[in-house]
Amino acid sequence: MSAIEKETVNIRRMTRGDIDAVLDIDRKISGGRELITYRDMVAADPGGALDLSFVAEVGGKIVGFVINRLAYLMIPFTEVCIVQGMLVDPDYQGRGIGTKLFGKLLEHCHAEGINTIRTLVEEHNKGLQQFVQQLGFRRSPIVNYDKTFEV
Amino acid sequence: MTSLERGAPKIRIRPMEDEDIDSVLTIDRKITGVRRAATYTELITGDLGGVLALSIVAEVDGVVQGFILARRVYVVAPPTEVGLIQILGVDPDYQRRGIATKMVNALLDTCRSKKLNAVRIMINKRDNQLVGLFEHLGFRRGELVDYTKSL
Repeated sequence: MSAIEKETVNIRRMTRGDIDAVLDIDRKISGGRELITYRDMVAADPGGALDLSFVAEVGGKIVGFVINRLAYLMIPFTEVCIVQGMLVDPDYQGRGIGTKLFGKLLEHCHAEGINTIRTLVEEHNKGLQQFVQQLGFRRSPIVNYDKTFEV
Repeated sequence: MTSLERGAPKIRIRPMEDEDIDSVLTIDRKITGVRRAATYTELITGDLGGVLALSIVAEVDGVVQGFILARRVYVVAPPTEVGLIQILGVDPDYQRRGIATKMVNALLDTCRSKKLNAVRIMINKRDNQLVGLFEHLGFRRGELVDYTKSL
Protein backbone atom coordinates (compact mmCIF):
# COMPACT_ATOMS: atom_id res chain seq x y z
CA MET A 1 0.00 0.00 0.00
CA SER A 2 1.49 3.35 -0.99
CA ALA A 3 1.75 6.27 1.42
CA ILE A 4 -0.95 8.17 -0.40
CA GLU A 5 -3.48 5.34 -0.03
CA LYS A 6 -3.03 5.28 3.73
CA GLU A 7 -3.98 8.93 4.07
CA THR A 8 -7.43 9.61 5.31
CA VAL A 9 -9.96 11.39 3.17
CA ASN A 10 -11.61 14.27 4.97
CA ILE A 11 -15.00 15.41 3.65
CA ARG A 12 -16.22 18.88 4.64
CA ARG A 13 -18.57 21.62 3.45
CA MET A 14 -17.25 23.81 0.65
CA THR A 15 -16.55 27.49 1.41
CA ARG A 16 -15.87 30.51 -0.79
CA GLY A 17 -12.18 30.06 -0.04
CA ASP A 18 -12.23 26.74 -1.93
CA ILE A 19 -13.19 28.24 -5.29
CA ASP A 20 -9.63 28.41 -6.66
CA ALA A 21 -8.86 24.81 -5.65
CA VAL A 22 -12.11 23.65 -7.26
CA LEU A 23 -11.31 25.47 -10.49
CA ASP A 24 -7.76 23.99 -10.48
CA ILE A 25 -9.21 20.46 -10.47
CA ASP A 26 -11.57 21.45 -13.26
CA ARG A 27 -8.67 22.79 -15.39
CA LYS A 28 -6.62 19.67 -14.73
CA ILE A 29 -9.44 17.45 -15.97
CA SER A 30 -10.70 19.54 -18.83
CA GLY A 31 -7.31 20.61 -20.11
CA GLY A 32 -8.31 24.25 -19.87
CA ARG A 33 -11.73 23.92 -21.53
CA GLU A 34 -13.45 25.17 -18.40
CA LEU A 35 -16.28 22.79 -17.64
CA ILE A 36 -16.90 24.98 -14.61
CA THR A 37 -16.31 28.73 -14.77
CA TYR A 38 -15.62 31.24 -12.04
CA ARG A 39 -19.07 32.61 -12.79
CA ASP A 40 -20.59 29.18 -12.10
CA MET A 41 -18.83 29.14 -8.76
CA VAL A 42 -20.13 32.57 -7.85
CA ALA A 43 -23.62 31.39 -8.80
CA ALA A 44 -23.15 28.24 -6.69
CA ASP A 45 -22.32 30.54 -3.75
CA PRO A 46 -20.36 28.02 -1.65
CA GLY A 47 -21.31 28.37 2.01
CA GLY A 48 -24.45 30.35 1.08
CA ALA A 49 -27.95 29.68 2.37
CA LEU A 50 -28.92 27.30 -0.45
CA ASP A 51 -25.53 25.71 -1.00
CA LEU A 52 -24.96 22.05 -0.10
CA SER A 53 -21.52 21.52 -1.66
CA PHE A 54 -18.74 19.38 -0.21
CA VAL A 55 -15.02 19.00 -0.83
CA ALA A 56 -12.75 16.00 -0.23
CA GLU A 57 -9.30 16.64 1.20
CA VAL A 58 -6.33 14.30 1.32
CA GLY A 59 -3.44 15.56 3.43
CA GLY A 60 -5.07 19.00 3.54
CA LYS A 61 -5.25 19.26 -0.26
CA ILE A 62 -8.59 19.42 -2.06
CA VAL A 63 -8.76 16.46 -4.43
CA GLY A 64 -12.46 16.33 -5.25
CA PHE A 65 -15.76 18.08 -4.84
CA VAL A 66 -19.47 17.83 -5.42
CA ILE A 67 -21.53 20.98 -6.02
CA ASN A 68 -25.11 20.77 -4.78
CA ARG A 69 -27.90 23.19 -4.23
CA LEU A 70 -31.15 23.21 -2.31
CA ALA A 71 -34.06 23.94 -4.63
CA TYR A 72 -37.80 23.81 -4.86
CA LEU A 73 -39.12 21.97 -7.87
CA MET A 74 -42.39 20.94 -9.40
CA ILE A 75 -43.21 17.40 -10.60
CA PRO A 76 -43.67 16.55 -7.82
CA PHE A 77 -43.40 19.76 -5.87
CA THR A 78 -40.85 19.24 -3.16
CA GLU A 79 -37.74 20.56 -1.47
CA VAL A 80 -34.86 18.80 -3.11
CA CYS A 81 -31.10 18.76 -3.24
CA ILE A 82 -29.83 19.16 -6.80
CA VAL A 83 -26.46 17.68 -7.61
CA GLN A 84 -24.94 20.03 -10.17
CA GLY A 85 -21.52 18.55 -10.72
CA MET A 86 -18.83 16.34 -9.27
CA LEU A 87 -15.14 16.01 -10.09
CA VAL A 88 -12.25 14.08 -8.57
CA ASP A 89 -8.60 14.86 -9.33
CA PRO A 90 -7.43 12.21 -11.85
CA ASP A 91 -4.49 11.34 -9.57
CA TYR A 92 -6.95 10.39 -6.84
CA GLN A 93 -9.64 8.63 -8.86
CA GLY A 94 -10.54 5.00 -8.21
CA ARG A 95 -10.24 5.37 -4.43
CA GLY A 96 -13.89 5.80 -3.63
CA ILE A 97 -13.64 9.56 -3.12
CA GLY A 98 -16.76 10.22 -5.19
CA THR A 99 -18.68 7.67 -3.15
CA LYS A 100 -17.43 9.27 0.09
CA LEU A 101 -18.51 12.73 -1.12
CA PHE A 102 -21.99 11.40 -1.89
CA GLY A 103 -22.11 9.51 1.40
CA LYS A 104 -21.53 12.74 3.31
CA LEU A 105 -24.10 14.57 1.20
CA LEU A 106 -26.74 11.88 1.86
CA GLU A 107 -25.98 11.97 5.57
CA HIS A 108 -26.33 15.76 5.61
CA CYS A 109 -29.60 15.77 3.63
CA HIS A 110 -31.05 13.10 5.88
CA ALA A 111 -30.18 15.12 8.99
CA GLU A 112 -31.69 18.27 7.46
CA GLY A 113 -34.93 16.54 6.45
CA ILE A 114 -34.25 16.92 2.73
CA ASN A 115 -35.76 13.72 1.42
CA THR A 116 -34.98 13.86 -2.27
CA ILE A 117 -31.72 14.21 -4.17
CA ARG A 118 -31.79 14.69 -7.91
CA THR A 119 -29.32 15.06 -10.67
CA LEU A 120 -29.52 15.46 -14.41
CA VAL A 121 -27.35 13.20 -16.52
CA GLU A 122 -26.83 13.32 -20.26
CA GLU A 123 -28.49 10.44 -22.09
CA HIS A 124 -25.21 9.30 -23.68
CA ASN A 125 -23.15 9.43 -20.46
CA LYS A 126 -23.59 5.78 -19.47
CA GLY A 127 -20.59 5.83 -17.10
CA LEU A 128 -22.11 8.55 -14.96
CA GLN A 129 -25.53 6.89 -15.09
CA GLN A 130 -23.97 3.68 -13.79
CA PHE A 131 -22.19 5.57 -11.00
CA VAL A 132 -25.35 7.28 -9.74
CA GLN A 133 -27.32 4.02 -10.02
CA GLN A 134 -24.77 2.35 -7.77
CA LEU A 135 -25.40 5.13 -5.26
CA GLY A 136 -29.10 4.29 -5.26
CA PHE A 137 -30.39 6.87 -7.74
CA ARG A 138 -33.21 5.73 -10.00
CA ARG A 139 -34.10 7.07 -13.40
CA SER A 140 -37.31 9.12 -13.39
CA PRO A 141 -39.58 9.99 -16.32
CA ILE A 142 -38.54 13.66 -16.11
CA VAL A 143 -36.71 14.98 -19.16
CA ASN A 144 -35.82 18.44 -20.40
CA TYR A 145 -37.61 20.24 -23.19
CA ASP A 146 -35.74 23.25 -24.55
CA LYS A 147 -36.49 25.98 -26.98
CA THR A 148 -33.18 27.29 -28.18
CA PHE A 149 -32.92 30.69 -29.83
CA GLU A 150 -31.04 31.10 -33.05
CA VAL A 151 -28.10 33.38 -32.36
CA MET B 1 -74.64 32.70 -20.12
CA THR B 2 -71.68 33.82 -18.11
CA SER B 3 -70.03 37.14 -18.56
CA LEU B 4 -67.10 35.33 -20.11
CA GLU B 5 -69.23 34.00 -22.94
CA ARG B 6 -70.87 37.33 -23.69
CA GLY B 7 -67.85 39.11 -24.95
CA ALA B 8 -64.28 38.13 -25.60
CA PRO B 9 -62.51 38.23 -22.25
CA LYS B 10 -59.54 40.52 -22.06
CA ILE B 11 -56.43 38.46 -21.47
CA ARG B 12 -53.44 40.49 -20.43
CA ILE B 13 -49.98 39.06 -19.90
CA ARG B 14 -47.64 41.05 -17.68
CA PRO B 15 -44.60 40.55 -15.44
CA MET B 16 -45.27 39.14 -11.98
CA GLU B 17 -45.09 41.59 -9.09
CA ASP B 18 -44.83 41.18 -5.32
CA GLU B 19 -48.56 41.84 -4.96
CA ASP B 20 -49.37 38.78 -7.11
CA ILE B 21 -48.12 36.27 -4.56
CA ASP B 22 -51.53 35.70 -2.97
CA SER B 23 -53.20 35.13 -6.35
CA VAL B 24 -50.45 32.75 -7.40
CA LEU B 25 -50.78 30.75 -4.19
CA THR B 26 -54.57 30.65 -4.54
CA ILE B 27 -54.38 29.22 -8.07
CA ASP B 28 -51.71 26.76 -7.02
CA ARG B 29 -53.84 25.50 -4.13
CA LYS B 30 -56.83 25.19 -6.43
CA ILE B 31 -54.80 23.04 -8.83
CA THR B 32 -52.99 20.86 -6.34
CA GLY B 33 -55.57 20.80 -3.58
CA VAL B 34 -52.84 21.24 -1.00
CA ARG B 35 -51.90 24.09 1.18
CA ARG B 36 -48.21 23.95 0.80
CA ALA B 37 -45.76 24.49 3.60
CA ALA B 38 -43.93 27.72 4.24
CA THR B 39 -41.23 26.61 1.84
CA TYR B 40 -43.44 27.59 -1.05
CA THR B 41 -43.73 31.14 0.17
CA GLU B 42 -39.98 31.13 0.53
CA LEU B 43 -39.71 30.13 -3.08
CA ILE B 44 -41.48 33.26 -4.09
CA THR B 45 -40.42 35.69 -1.41
CA GLY B 46 -36.98 34.35 -0.58
CA ASP B 47 -35.30 35.61 -3.69
CA LEU B 48 -37.61 38.12 -5.25
CA GLY B 49 -35.10 39.62 -7.63
CA GLY B 50 -34.28 36.22 -9.04
CA VAL B 51 -37.81 34.98 -9.46
CA LEU B 52 -39.46 38.19 -10.51
CA ALA B 53 -36.88 38.77 -13.20
CA LEU B 54 -38.72 36.38 -15.55
CA SER B 55 -41.99 35.40 -13.90
CA ILE B 56 -45.26 36.21 -15.58
CA VAL B 57 -48.95 36.37 -14.73
CA ALA B 58 -52.02 36.26 -16.96
CA GLU B 59 -55.01 38.40 -16.06
CA VAL B 60 -58.48 37.72 -17.40
CA ASP B 61 -60.68 40.79 -17.05
CA GLY B 62 -58.29 42.17 -14.48
CA VAL B 63 -58.02 39.07 -12.30
CA VAL B 64 -54.91 36.89 -12.19
CA GLN B 65 -55.87 33.44 -13.49
CA GLY B 66 -52.49 32.03 -14.51
CA PHE B 67 -48.80 32.31 -13.76
CA ILE B 68 -45.35 31.13 -14.73
CA LEU B 69 -42.58 31.06 -12.18
CA ALA B 70 -39.33 31.16 -14.08
CA ARG B 71 -35.77 32.16 -13.35
CA ARG B 72 -32.39 32.53 -14.99
CA VAL B 73 -30.12 29.61 -14.31
CA TYR B 74 -26.72 28.49 -15.48
CA VAL B 75 -26.76 24.95 -16.76
CA VAL B 76 -23.86 22.72 -17.67
CA ALA B 77 -25.11 20.62 -20.53
CA PRO B 78 -24.35 22.47 -22.72
CA PRO B 79 -22.86 25.29 -20.63
CA THR B 80 -25.25 28.14 -21.12
CA GLU B 81 -27.65 30.50 -19.45
CA VAL B 82 -31.30 29.57 -19.77
CA GLY B 83 -34.67 30.71 -18.54
CA LEU B 84 -36.00 27.78 -16.51
CA ILE B 85 -39.76 27.41 -16.14
CA GLN B 86 -40.24 26.19 -12.58
CA ILE B 87 -43.99 26.17 -12.26
CA LEU B 88 -46.75 26.92 -14.73
CA GLY B 89 -50.29 27.14 -13.44
CA VAL B 90 -53.65 28.15 -14.88
CA ASP B 91 -56.84 28.25 -12.81
CA PRO B 92 -58.80 25.09 -13.76
CA ASP B 93 -61.84 27.26 -14.62
CA TYR B 94 -59.76 29.14 -17.19
CA GLN B 95 -57.85 26.29 -18.81
CA ARG B 96 -58.08 25.45 -22.53
CA ARG B 97 -58.31 29.11 -23.54
CA GLY B 98 -54.73 29.51 -24.71
CA ILE B 99 -53.60 31.28 -21.54
CA ALA B 100 -50.57 29.00 -21.05
CA THR B 101 -49.56 29.50 -24.68
CA LYS B 102 -49.77 33.28 -24.33
CA MET B 103 -47.72 33.23 -21.14
CA VAL B 104 -45.02 30.95 -22.57
CA ASN B 105 -44.79 33.09 -25.71
CA ALA B 106 -44.38 36.19 -23.53
CA LEU B 107 -41.64 34.42 -21.57
CA LEU B 108 -39.89 33.46 -24.81
CA ASP B 109 -39.94 37.11 -25.93
CA THR B 110 -38.54 38.26 -22.59
CA CYS B 111 -35.76 35.67 -22.60
CA ARG B 112 -34.86 36.45 -26.19
CA SER B 113 -34.63 40.16 -25.38
CA LYS B 114 -32.45 39.39 -22.35
CA LYS B 115 -30.07 37.46 -24.66
CA LEU B 116 -30.61 34.14 -22.91
CA ASN B 117 -29.77 31.14 -25.08
CA ALA B 118 -32.81 29.03 -24.40
CA VAL B 119 -35.90 28.40 -22.33
CA ARG B 120 -36.12 25.06 -20.56
CA ILE B 121 -38.79 23.11 -18.74
CA MET B 122 -38.45 19.74 -17.07
CA ILE B 123 -41.44 17.58 -18.00
CA ASN B 124 -42.65 14.12 -17.13
CA LYS B 125 -42.36 12.49 -20.56
CA ARG B 126 -45.57 10.55 -19.89
CA ASP B 127 -47.54 13.78 -19.41
CA ASN B 128 -48.90 13.91 -22.95
CA GLN B 129 -50.83 17.12 -22.41
CA LEU B 130 -47.78 19.07 -21.21
CA VAL B 131 -45.44 17.48 -23.76
CA GLY B 132 -47.93 18.30 -26.52
CA LEU B 133 -48.27 21.91 -25.42
CA PHE B 134 -44.53 22.53 -25.33
CA GLU B 135 -43.84 20.70 -28.58
CA HIS B 136 -46.50 22.85 -30.17
CA LEU B 137 -44.68 25.91 -28.81
CA GLY B 138 -41.45 24.84 -30.51
CA PHE B 139 -39.73 23.12 -27.60
CA ARG B 140 -37.70 20.00 -28.37
CA ARG B 141 -36.71 17.11 -26.16
CA GLY B 142 -33.18 17.57 -24.83
CA GLU B 143 -30.40 15.20 -23.83
CA LEU B 144 -30.94 15.19 -20.09
CA VAL B 145 -32.55 12.54 -17.94
CA ASP B 146 -33.38 12.92 -14.30
CA TYR B 147 -32.05 10.56 -11.65
CA THR B 148 -33.62 10.71 -8.22
CA LYS B 149 -32.75 9.23 -4.87
CA SER B 150 -35.29 9.26 -2.06
CA LEU B 151 -33.94 9.16 1.47
